[in-house]
Amino acid sequence: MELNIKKIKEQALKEIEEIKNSQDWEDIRNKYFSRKSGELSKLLKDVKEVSSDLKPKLGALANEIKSDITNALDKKKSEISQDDPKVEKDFIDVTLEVEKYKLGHLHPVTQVQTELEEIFKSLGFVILDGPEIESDYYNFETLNIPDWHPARDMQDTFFIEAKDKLVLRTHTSPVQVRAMQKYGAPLRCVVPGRVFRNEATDASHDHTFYQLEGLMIGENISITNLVAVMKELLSGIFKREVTVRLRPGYFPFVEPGFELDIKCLICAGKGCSVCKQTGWLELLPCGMVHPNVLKYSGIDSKKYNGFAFGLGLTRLVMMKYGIDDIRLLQSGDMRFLNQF
Amino acid sequence: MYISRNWLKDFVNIPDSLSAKDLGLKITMAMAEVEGWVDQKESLKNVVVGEILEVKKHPNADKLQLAVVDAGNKKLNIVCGAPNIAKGQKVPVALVGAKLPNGLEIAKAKVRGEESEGMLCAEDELGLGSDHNGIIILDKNLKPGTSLIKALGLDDTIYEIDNKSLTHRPDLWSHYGVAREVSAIISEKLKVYKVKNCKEGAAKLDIKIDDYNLCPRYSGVVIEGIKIAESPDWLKRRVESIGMRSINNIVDITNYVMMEIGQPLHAFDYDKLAGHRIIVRNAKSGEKIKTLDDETRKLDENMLVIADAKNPVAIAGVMGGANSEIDNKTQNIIIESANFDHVSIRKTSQKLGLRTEASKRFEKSLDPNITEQGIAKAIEFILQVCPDAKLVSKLEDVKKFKLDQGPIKVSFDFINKIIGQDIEAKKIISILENLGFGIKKQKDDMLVTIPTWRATKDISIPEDIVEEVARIYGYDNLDIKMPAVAMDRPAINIERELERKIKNILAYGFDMTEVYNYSFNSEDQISKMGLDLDSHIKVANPLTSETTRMRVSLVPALLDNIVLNERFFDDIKLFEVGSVYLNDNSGEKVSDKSSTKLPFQEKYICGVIDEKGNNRPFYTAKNVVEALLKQLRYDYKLKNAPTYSWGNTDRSLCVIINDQTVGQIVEVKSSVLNKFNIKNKIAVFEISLNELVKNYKSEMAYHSIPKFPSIELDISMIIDKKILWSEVKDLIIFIDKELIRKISIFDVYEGKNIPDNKKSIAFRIEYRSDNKTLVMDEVQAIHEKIIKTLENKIGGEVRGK
Repeated sequence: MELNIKKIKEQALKEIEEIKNSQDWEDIRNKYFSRKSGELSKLLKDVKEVSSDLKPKLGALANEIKSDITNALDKKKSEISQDDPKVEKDFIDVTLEVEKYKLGHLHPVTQVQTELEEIFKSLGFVILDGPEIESDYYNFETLNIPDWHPARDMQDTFFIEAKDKLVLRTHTSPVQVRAMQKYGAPLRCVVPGRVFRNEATDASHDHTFYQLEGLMIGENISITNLVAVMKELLSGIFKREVTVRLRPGYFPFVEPGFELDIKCLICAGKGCSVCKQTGWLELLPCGMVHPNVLKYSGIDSKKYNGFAFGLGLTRLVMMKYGIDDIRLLQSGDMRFLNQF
Repeated sequence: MYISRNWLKDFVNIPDSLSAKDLGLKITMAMAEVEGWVDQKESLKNVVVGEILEVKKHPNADKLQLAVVDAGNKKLNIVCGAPNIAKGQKVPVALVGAKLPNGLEIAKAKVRGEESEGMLCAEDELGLGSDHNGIIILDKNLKPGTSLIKALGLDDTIYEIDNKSLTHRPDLWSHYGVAREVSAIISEKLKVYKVKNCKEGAAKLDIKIDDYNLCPRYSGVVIEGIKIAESPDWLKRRVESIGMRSINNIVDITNYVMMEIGQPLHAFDYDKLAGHRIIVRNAKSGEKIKTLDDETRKLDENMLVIADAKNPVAIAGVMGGANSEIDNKTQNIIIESANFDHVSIRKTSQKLGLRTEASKRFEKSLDPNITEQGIAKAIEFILQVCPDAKLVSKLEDVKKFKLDQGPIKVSFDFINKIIGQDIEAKKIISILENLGFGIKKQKDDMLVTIPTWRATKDISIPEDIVEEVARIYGYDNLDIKMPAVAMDRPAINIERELERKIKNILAYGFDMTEVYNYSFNSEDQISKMGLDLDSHIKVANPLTSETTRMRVSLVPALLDNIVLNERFFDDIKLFEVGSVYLNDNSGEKVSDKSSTKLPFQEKYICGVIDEKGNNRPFYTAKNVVEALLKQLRYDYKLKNAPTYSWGNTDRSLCVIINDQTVGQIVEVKSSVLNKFNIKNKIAVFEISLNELVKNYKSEMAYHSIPKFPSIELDISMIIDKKILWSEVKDLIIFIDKELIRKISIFDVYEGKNIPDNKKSIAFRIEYRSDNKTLVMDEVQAIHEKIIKTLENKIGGEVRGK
């Protein structure tokens, strides 16, 4: 039997050597390895049946031969593998445009808003929203803008007919109060959202636009904290270290109130047309939350205080992409939207 | 508002070493935003006096002239468009190289073929006023070549301050007020505002105030011997320097005083007042007045007027009346220096659409104390300008007011805590004292008395004091510091997360474009949709007809988007995620103290499908919705049910989650599409984001990969056309819920070889067991049962049997 095994090996190796094409290769493989009729398969079956004292030696030999033949077959396969001229010569024009799979487009405001939300989330701010048709109470009164206040003139307001004192929110600030009433202190939140102003539209004004309101309430929050947090956030937004400055600004719901400017990113403060030669860009109104607002919000102003800020989301989008007409954003025009 | 540096220097010593730019920056950083300035010395550097030697016609342009000008040591040829020039005049000439206040740089140029070596200037081009009608004609005695700065004594810097940044500061609407701030900012002493004592007359001026709440103070005096004339140079120049027009001596004086200390004044012609009386009262219903701008204005009972014995002679604090106006013949006048309630003035001026320099100041809530200085200063100037003038009456002063000057108790610690930096008590006190606050130190606290000019509403709480200290100390001088707070992770806003996922799937999974549409609908849009107008909330003051109603659906605007885009694109797949507003009151509370609620507002996800050549956009919409819901792991059902009036009921499905309808997939009726002028068939889907949030499950469990092979068998069957695939499926699945794993349709055919009211469907059923390899006999038995059932229940006929 041992001899027989060796004979099979010699014969197989010889036959493999003579293989010319893939058909021969298939035939030879079947001749030896076919489950039912293959010579090697039969041989291995026979080995199982020999007496137990011979089994280890014959078994080892048979396996060795099996592996030799397998290796030789594998080697031969790679030798005879050849390109199929019929398939290869079928000409295709590789420069043709293929548009089977296309991707759609997210609105630029969505894209920038998402980016901002991620930055705020990473600093522990929760993302909130509130109603767009808002009560006079939340839109003005709780924000320390009583009925007689001149600040109401600055925010041309859309009013709702036949509903007592309802407005289209003129800013995202009402959500400050709603959030504090709901979550209490401490609190860190941002509110990106749609706001409305009843003013004539042109390339730089629309009656509908987006703001991002921010609020941080805690114990012992200071002006120096506000500047530090704003600087960090803006560095995140502009993806580089920014220089900021505070100057007085007046908003009824903060005291003190500030305008925060950043050193012009275009000219690095030297003065250019973008910053109107001042070296600074007015970016974000902010301030320490007014105690009256805290009172309306049910926050103990003896224990907690904080700051609020507002980012012009729409303005940021326009700055980022160099959009020169704000109305394009809500035009529904795919020639514009499909660029993003 | 314009502020003159020279005028400020009347009250505070501003060192010359402080440049125009630096003073502007200091004001911006500590007080209010300076929007720009004109430094006359700089901006008029290359402008000189020139004498016109000759004026010729331009050979190539009718409207242009050629002037030969002596500009001192050189003769210049200059092309000029203004009609008012003539030989012998002295005019301002901007030389080549000059950079004018309006930004214009003068260079040698050819104008319509003629050389021009400079420019003759109008008022506005030199920043000296707003007139652009002609070239300024200068004093004929000036020597050609003299610099204009020297010739006109122009060495001022005029700052423009953003009015909006002054809304809360009544005291800053004057040079004296700004000077007070500058004195604190640059640590220079503020000069006391001096007024000369005057000799009062003996007569009594009858002043009556109806309501002291509306008019807390009225000071008035009668002056005789007035001669209305052109203002003297010093007066004219001051008034003009800050952009006001010079009218005559009396009007200019009232304006001068207003600009100097912020008290608006008014001069009445005494002889025109019936009964020579002043009554401050509310207007009577139906009363009218012709104001100084020649407009007749209807008054109402909420408007405060100044009246004589018969009629209103002025709208209090807003504008005088033509019936009492001073004119060239006026000899006797009443000077009014009064204080009015800010709310009343603001409302009146708003209602009349009339904002004046006076009303702008009164609506900020002026200090009633300054009427005194105002009238005294006016008298001083009038007596100086009209030598024959004399006070006839006593200086009447009717008043009743009380200001809350505090004191406010503030601790140094509180100030430093809010600012976030330790500022010495001494420094704090000196800052406040420089601003006019009275300080009484009590160990760690201060009692701060508010000066009258800040006490009307500007300063009332400790936080206000913090601001005063911080801004004068200088925000630039603060060391920034991150807050020390707990590192809490933020709560997750599921709605936002879900909204973001959905947007990503629709855009990047289905090639859809996201749009943002307005929250408004026009009545036209609503009627085209066949929707009920009354179910739409109405905007009380719409901007245009496009903004009259609040949308209840995102669909109308999306259809308009299709109209726009069909001109440029074949395939239009758009979506929007946005709020709709229901005309009810079941939303959030209008206040924490009230049970009234806002209209219900919720976000919808809405998409429209318009594919050229695809007559069944409905299937695309359905595909999108199902894939979306599956990806988000919702357990949903779709059911054919009646839909919107604008939708085709036979081509609509409700999306149901947890037995609740959360959305719809609908084909828009062709009648509606016609009204919008849309050519193709359109399918729409909309899903309530709120409902998705409510039913959102973030967890998911994995199913193990099948261990045993499945067997797939096909059935091809002819059934009635109107039988829905879902009915067929429901019948099949019921037969063996365990082994039937998947039923998928691969062909639906109507037409040749199939009877008219029938269709052929072909589908594949996959059988599999979790416990063993199925044998064919077993499967075949179930399969037969399925065929039987379909034959019996829906009259199906197996093809090729």
